[in-house]
Amino acid sequence: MIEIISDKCVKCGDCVKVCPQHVISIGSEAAVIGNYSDCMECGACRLNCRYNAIDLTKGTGCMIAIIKEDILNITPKNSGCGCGSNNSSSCC
Amino acid sequence: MDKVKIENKPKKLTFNITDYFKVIYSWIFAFKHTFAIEPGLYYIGDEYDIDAPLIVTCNYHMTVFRVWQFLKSMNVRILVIDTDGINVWCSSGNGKFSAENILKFIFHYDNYFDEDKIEIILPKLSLSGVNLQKLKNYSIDPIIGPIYARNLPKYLSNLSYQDQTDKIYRFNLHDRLYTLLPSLTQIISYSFFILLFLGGIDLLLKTGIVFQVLPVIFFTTIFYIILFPILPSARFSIKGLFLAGLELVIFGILIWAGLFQPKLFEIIFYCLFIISFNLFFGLYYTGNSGVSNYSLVKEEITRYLPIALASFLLALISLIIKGFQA
Repeated sequence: MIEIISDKCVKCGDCVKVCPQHVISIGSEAAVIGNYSDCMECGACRLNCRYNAIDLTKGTGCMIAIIKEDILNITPKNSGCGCGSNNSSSCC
Repeated sequence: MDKVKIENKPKKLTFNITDYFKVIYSWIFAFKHTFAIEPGLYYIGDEYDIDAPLIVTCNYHMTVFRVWQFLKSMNVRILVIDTDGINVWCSSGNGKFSAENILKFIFHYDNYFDEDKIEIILPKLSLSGVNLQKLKNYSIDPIIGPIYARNLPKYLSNLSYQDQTDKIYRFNLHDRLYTLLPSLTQIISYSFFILLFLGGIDLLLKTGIVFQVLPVIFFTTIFYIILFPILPSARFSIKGLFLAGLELVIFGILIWAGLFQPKLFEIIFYCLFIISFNLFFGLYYTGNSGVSNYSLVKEEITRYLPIALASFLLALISLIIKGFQA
């Protein structure tokens, strides 16, 4: 989930710049989330927010990664599915 | 640098004929095997030019190759950072494509950069791993570059590089077709297990159904990817259910037209298999799509993966009953 903490947001627009899906825009009071289903929860906005005004659950939107990280707990959180990695067992 | 040996001098970036084969191989097995490029500072052009634009990218072979392909006639520098051979999007997601990693490489090649100003062009999809402020703290000027390598030549032709804030990752037909071949490769490997199940049941009960499921598997894989934006709902598994509906209609037409005359439990098997496989494929494709949302996918898994598995189990039971009837 993604949430803008209005009290902390100064409307600097950094989150808007870095969002690869244009999910965020600047409203009258603070940044606002548009269509949540377009959000990839990549975490670019939260990482680049200098005011910690974004609360977001970052994760890999991939079935295999979620099964490994959240259900079976066999890989660390946010390690991804390992796709294509030469140093991991890869996902598939 | 940890483990990876980095050259001390910038190198000219060149590729040869074997790299074309590597790219094809990487494409077919995109989610399984890849090749990595030695990380370091490279240049394209006659010699290293301290004033040439500096692009930062991952060390996934195909990415660097594509960047080179589009820029080979230009005078540019490319800082290839060590991302374990993983592409930009995935490595920024897992924290390998990060400001810290970029800084390590910039410090390593300190003598080859302008002391007053280091301007770097980042792929827009790297920003889930790169904290721009951390780079700015070291007097580095990060610019948000294009999403796609193919847009680099046009972007670089304007001498004043602007943040590409208005660019959106669309996952258009071109992007989806890129995932088609590797998805097929992967699904074929999964299908082996399905065929093993069906083959085992056929061996014991002479059901006569093994390879007949392959058209469903191929049809689903190809048409799910092509029809992705047209299939209703933002949920991957619901899209799968709609495609399953279409396949069931086609299946019904085949029976109605007399082209296919299955018995009752055979019909039940195919119907359940179609539903099960389409649900599974929808969930599977979350990883290949690049537009999936972690929380929604997690919710979908808990809701629809059990249904997919239960449907598959019931399909097998129907097949076993058919076998006993025979």
